[in-house]
Amino acid sequence: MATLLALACGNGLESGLLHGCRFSGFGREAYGVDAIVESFRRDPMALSAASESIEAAGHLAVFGTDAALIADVHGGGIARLWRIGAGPPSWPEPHIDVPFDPCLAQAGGDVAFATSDHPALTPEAGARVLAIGRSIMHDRAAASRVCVFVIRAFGDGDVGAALFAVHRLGSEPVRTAGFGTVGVLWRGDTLHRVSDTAGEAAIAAATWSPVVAETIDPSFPELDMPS
Amino acid sequence: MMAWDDLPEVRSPLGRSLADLLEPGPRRQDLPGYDPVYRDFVDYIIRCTHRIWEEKNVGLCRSHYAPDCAIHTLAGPVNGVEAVVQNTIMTLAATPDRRLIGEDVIWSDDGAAGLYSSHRIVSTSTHMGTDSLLGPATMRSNGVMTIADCLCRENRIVEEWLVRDNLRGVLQVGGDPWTIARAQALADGAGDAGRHGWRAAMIAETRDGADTPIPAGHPAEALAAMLASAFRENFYGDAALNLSPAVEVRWPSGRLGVGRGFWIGCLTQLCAVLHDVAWRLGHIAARPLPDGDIAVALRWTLAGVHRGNGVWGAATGREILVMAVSHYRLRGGLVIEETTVFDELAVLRQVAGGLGG
Repeated sequence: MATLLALACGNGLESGLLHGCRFSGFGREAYGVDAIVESFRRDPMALSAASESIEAAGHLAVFGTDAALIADVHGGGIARLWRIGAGPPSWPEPHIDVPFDPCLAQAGGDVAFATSDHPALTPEAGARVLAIGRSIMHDRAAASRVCVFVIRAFGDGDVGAALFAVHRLGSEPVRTAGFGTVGVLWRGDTLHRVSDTAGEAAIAAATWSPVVAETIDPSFPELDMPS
Repeated sequence: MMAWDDLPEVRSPLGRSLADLLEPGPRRQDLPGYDPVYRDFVDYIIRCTHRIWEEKNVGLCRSHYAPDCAIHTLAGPVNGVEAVVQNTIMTLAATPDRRLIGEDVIWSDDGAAGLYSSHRIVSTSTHMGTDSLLGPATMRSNGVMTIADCLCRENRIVEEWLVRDNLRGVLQVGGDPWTIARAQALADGAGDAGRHGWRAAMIAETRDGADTPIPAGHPAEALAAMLASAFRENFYGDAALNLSPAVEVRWPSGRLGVGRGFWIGCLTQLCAVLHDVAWRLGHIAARPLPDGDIAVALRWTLAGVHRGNGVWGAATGREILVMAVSHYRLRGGLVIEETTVFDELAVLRQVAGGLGG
């Protein structure tokens, strides 16, 4: 918890990041301590000791009002980190899009969730994760086709956290498509949900390109890599 | 030859700090002929990479590669240690702050052939100087995935299969991949065409060669069957049942997604444009990971005729070769993370008519 709070403020020395840590946030990925710390120095997070937090074997999560960090932990060090919530304007890295069917089912299917992926999740919490995932999938506020994937989940029926990858196919005449993330922490009957608004904005801004384009726009912004 | 899960004390770098990885100490594995500084084979791979690239002791290549080493890349072979030294210096001159973050070393004891490592690396750097692929300096950052499969004997890499996500690197610095690929193809057309004979040989091996054998019960068995089922028989849905429904998938050129459908999409994007496809398994390895997970590495090649319009532009009718390495993280019998790397820039170079007929 203390290491994540230090990192949120941009403190590299006490960040607890393993050198091979991979970071996902603002619709992008970054690798290594330097790049990740640089990202937080540029855009610190409003997390405090009063933030909601949960620790379980191999996992750590801290939830603020509208932002959250979810981490994989190995030997006390952070091996993987997701930042969820509001952020600065973001652009996806230039890439080749993949045309694919996210649901593999005629009527949308269910939440993509294998309990065996999540050894630190109790069976009763598994039922809760599934219910939360279904609520995200069927959120009426989202006028798009949504498929939900459980990426991380840990805890028990009383306290726990989960990270969902959410694929949205927009309902516009020319659709947008891409993955965002949603983090959820539960404590008793209280659910704390944070959406990856920065990442979703990046998806909305992206041009769909399932080919190697003939020309590349050289004006895209700097990536979150060390310099 | 040892079993894939022997010597559990020779640990994966996954989840370990750099201080732990580089801590000096006594041998943890019998390594005849290897420098005393190396504690085990994983340490050999991680530490020599660090010494050569980050500590800039490029000359160590001469004691860590065989004089006549062969390095196979999809852009053509690199032969001999002096070429390795020169290429390393050129890369460091263009991207001097390069960090080689070793994500995993999946290795096997291949008996008399030697020890074999499949080393997954994220290389991050700033493009500060002229680079043969990236062009003149842009001062942009880049970070791409590389997998280096190395066959090693007595402290030396004797043969290497190197796959690097070069197209992603070009995109990250704002380059135009087609311009680069067409210029490379034009240069390939000049001079002795015989220098491209390796590509025809590798295509023939892919079409006619046998898969590498897999010991019964080896964790690679199901995953090799998965790729064979998908590429040879087009049972993509059945193949994907080996993956967790929420599998994380990374393919070259920034393809990043979640779920079985995304993985299928990565394969069909290739198979839609490559017809009359042949797939061959070249090597397998597996090692235990923390908490009961298993890491599996498969090296494979794909050959097909470019008859479909799609990801690589208009169909050309050329036979295209793909050399790839896939890394999998297995938990409870299902793949939870999948990373596949190949040099898609070298594929464009072939589409543009390069690398021989």
